[in-house]
Amino acid sequence: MTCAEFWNRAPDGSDHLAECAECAIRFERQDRVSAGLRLLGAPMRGREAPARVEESLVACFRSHERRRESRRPKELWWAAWAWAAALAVTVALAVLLSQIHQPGWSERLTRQSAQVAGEPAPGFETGDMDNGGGFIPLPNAERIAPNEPMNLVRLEVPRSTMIALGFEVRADRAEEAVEADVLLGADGVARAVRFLN
Amino acid sequence: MAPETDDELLIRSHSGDEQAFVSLYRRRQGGIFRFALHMSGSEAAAEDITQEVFLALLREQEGYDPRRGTVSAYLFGIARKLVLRHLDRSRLDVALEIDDENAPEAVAGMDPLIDLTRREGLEALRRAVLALPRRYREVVVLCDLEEMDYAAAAISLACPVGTVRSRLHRARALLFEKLQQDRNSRPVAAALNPARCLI
Repeated sequence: MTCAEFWNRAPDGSDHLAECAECAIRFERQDRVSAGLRLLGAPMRGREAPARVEESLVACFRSHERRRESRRPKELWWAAWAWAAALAVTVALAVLLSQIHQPGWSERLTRQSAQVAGEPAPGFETGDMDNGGGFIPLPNAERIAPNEPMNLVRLEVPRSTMIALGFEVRADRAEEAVEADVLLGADGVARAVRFLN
Repeated sequence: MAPETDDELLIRSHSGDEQAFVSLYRRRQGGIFRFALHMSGSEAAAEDITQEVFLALLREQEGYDPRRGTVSAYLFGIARKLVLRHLDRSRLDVALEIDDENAPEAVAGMDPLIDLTRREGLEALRRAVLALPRRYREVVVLCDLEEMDYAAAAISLACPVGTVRSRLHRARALLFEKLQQDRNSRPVAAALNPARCLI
């Protein structure tokens, strides 16, 4: 073993010390310096930070927690609002889609067109429904009374809603909002829908 | 029941458990305080640094990553940065002239290590430790003064064990040289001291 190899490994009194006087002296010297350092460190070993440091840190901890607590209700409100909004949108879509998916809705389309003869909603021509007018009747349209007044509501719905009505929608645009006119009966139930763009 | 690990205490502390924070502080503050004290040579600085280390633990809740080391090593890492900042500011970090890891060791004339059994000798050694370049002082403080094993010191200093070992050898050699210089200059200094003040 060379001197370099000896010092690069843990020098713990291997055979090299017996062969190399220089390393033996150097090792012995380092050992004594180390012993002196341990002696120097011994009285310090029990030393700790003064108690005031802990007191100060505990005060900081409490203040930090108070700040965090005061932030929490606001965060909860935001979360509650977000959840409520998401829930409302989901329910509205579910209602709309469940009406669309009722059996026999497509064959009722023509009948419904004929029945829509009441007062038109402002901006709505009865002819819109009769000759299509871009409206797609929904399954519950058969419940329209002959002279039933109707209302037209314009709202935004997710583009994915159009899929259920037979439109092709690209997956990457499914989240986009699209404007639609919804024809409501006197009972407030949607009868037909027309997508504007 | 086994005592809670540092990691468990830290998680509880971050979820607002004051007792967990205090337990973690009490467990680790001694080592941090002594490290800062040995490195800076100032009790006030060590106190400030200890406080700052644990404040950082409070503020930076995402800072600790258990995959990169232990809580103790993380705390020493923060302490180390704060100590270096303190030394930069206070300019107390006067290093030994010899800062070359490959420089040859001085040949001993008189043995300065005999003094290490006396109080003055230990005081000289303390001064010599404070005068060591930082990277050597760190390993001396951790491995010799605090008797931390090489592996733990390597984690605390974020360097390989081999580096800790080689720096430690070099640090001890530098300390020996410094003690020898002190010892050789002492008789001259003593001769300049007046036995009695005549003015």
